Amino acid sequence: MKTYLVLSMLLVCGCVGVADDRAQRDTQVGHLQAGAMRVDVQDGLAAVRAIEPGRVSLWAQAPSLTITLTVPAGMAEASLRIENVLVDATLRAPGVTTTLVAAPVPTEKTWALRGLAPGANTLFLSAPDAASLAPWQFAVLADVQERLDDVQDIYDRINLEPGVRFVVFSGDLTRRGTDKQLQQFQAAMKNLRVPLYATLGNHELGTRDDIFHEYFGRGNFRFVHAGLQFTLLDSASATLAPVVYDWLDEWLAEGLDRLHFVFMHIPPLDPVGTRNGAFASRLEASKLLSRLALGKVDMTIYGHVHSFYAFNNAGIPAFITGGGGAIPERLDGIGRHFMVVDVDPARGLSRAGVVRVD
Amino acid sequence: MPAAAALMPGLVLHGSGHFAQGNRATAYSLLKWEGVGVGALLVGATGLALTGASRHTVSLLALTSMAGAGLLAITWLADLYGVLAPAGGTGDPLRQMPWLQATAGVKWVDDPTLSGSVLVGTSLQVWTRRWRLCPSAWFAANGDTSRMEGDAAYRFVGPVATGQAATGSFVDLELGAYHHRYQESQKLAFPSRFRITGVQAQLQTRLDLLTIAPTLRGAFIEGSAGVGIGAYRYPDVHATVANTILLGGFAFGLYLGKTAQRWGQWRVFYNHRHDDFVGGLKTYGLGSGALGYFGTDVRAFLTQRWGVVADVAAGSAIVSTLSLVYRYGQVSL
Repeated sequence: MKTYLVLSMLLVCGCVGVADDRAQRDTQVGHLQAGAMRVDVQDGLAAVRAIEPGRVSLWAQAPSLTITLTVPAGMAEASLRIENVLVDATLRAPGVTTTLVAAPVPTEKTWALRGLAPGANTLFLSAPDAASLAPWQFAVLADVQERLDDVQDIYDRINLEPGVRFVVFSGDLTRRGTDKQLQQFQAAMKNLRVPLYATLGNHELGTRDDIFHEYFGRGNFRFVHAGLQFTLLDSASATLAPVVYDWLDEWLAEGLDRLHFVFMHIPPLDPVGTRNGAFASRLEASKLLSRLALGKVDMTIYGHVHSFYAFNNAGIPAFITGGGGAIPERLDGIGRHFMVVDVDPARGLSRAGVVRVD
Repeated sequence: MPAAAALMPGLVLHGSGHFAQGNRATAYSLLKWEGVGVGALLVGATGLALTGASRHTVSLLALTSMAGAGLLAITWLADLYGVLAPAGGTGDPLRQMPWLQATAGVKWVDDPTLSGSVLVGTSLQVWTRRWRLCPSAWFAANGDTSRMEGDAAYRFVGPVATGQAATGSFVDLELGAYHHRYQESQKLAFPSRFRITGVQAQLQTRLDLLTIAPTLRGAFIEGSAGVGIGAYRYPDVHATVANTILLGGFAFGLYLGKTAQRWGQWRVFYNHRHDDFVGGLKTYGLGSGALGYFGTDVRAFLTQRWGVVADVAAGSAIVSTLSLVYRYGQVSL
């Protein structure tokens, strides 16, 4: 009976535009108004978690943010709380005094803003190495799912990597993407000494497909840090929304002259083709890979398959790192792991390695 | 009453329609095969979960799951058919195939992420003894997309062009090759261009359900399993990667008509393929990617020589095809 219900639902619900609503929702992330107060985060690179007179709370999805805070006359002071920030991030705002008043954990900071002018005030969150081209490191993780209670093991191990500036998460943070699970994921992150920038996986669609955006922000976005462009795509439905291909063209053009890495959850092609833990359509997969190759993308990193694979797609070095703890692929000898990627933007070089946790 | 029973409790207990009809032997047979289907589906799905879809076992377990799901669907449809079909069934199988069939038609592809929405195409099917040769080609009206396929199948058992078979059941080994070409407008900033060239082998079977029970005369089921490997070429960056694909599927169908002049067949099917115009199913929720697609097709001859073929399938794209078919040679039921 259950099988029939599932099959019937698949037939009824099967739809060629399953990711379109999420892409539309991406365009709304980072923009919110409450009364006469309004916050706009450039490129939607932060989720507005709360806005009320005199107080704004954001969840950052990138190391550097440009924030426009619009306040009414008479509101010269406000507080700005940003979670998921680099430990050495600073906030500056022309004509506004910014004072760090709280940093309960390394990745959360609250600033008091004084001297706000009526109307739009522009604030810049940035890190000292934002424009540096010196070698640096970041980590990549995916597929925690039902091992959320144990994710601290992985964070503890990441904390031992002194050079890692932040973590990029390629989807499947939780088992079903419920409010409770996403809250638990963000609570666990408080013990991580670096921020974690995530796109969603298919398991974030297990309840509703709009919860991730409330907690983390966009599923499709890009940012640049220390000479490297990061593009994260929402492939949680084994496809990209058509509008994302338009965005991608712009992002590829921006990244042509620098190192450019692309992250998504479900890989376009599974290196084990008979399994097809991959895009639903191989024609679309090939279209996307062709486009990424033309855009001179330097590396692609995926999740979804609970193991580690190093391969190439359309000539681009590719990795699958699904070692966050979800039911592991047996007989592969990998287990829980994350990746550490060394980059040298000045020389256009990168090197990826695996760190085992268990 | 039997039809109602086939719906409920027949949706759960397959064979309930026949049971209500008093045909207990067929009812128990359908229930037994439903049980086999449930068992295969459980073994396959549990195996996939326990192994984490290991690269070493995933093909076998996926095919086991597919076979289980197929048996589940087919036994229910068979029960429904058996209590609804007229006495003698809806039709009889072709027991001798025409040695030549040629089609020409139009294909509409509603794919939100790929260009090339209207294609024209043609295919041939030529029988020589136990071999069947089937070349086909489809071309987009704008010239950007094309797909060519060629299959050679050996029929171990079943109807051929050189004599009459006892039933429409068959067992074929099909060897095929295909080439898919796609390119986007050069006006785009990063126009995608790729070629997929592959070879494949699969076993295709059909069973006339008359061999199971007289009430099922006129219905048939199909199953297939195989594997393919393709070269995915990206000419703009001079890159090629190889990738395998699991092939398989199942179908339930009816013969329509009892004379060669007015004859046809109708099928509903699942195809595990991910690399054709339809592609795998995309769904809301967390299940996209692994499944293939569902569809239905009908073939109807209104004269000795001429007929139409129509199909619609839904996966990553919704694809509809309408073709005119001409057949030549001795045909008999």
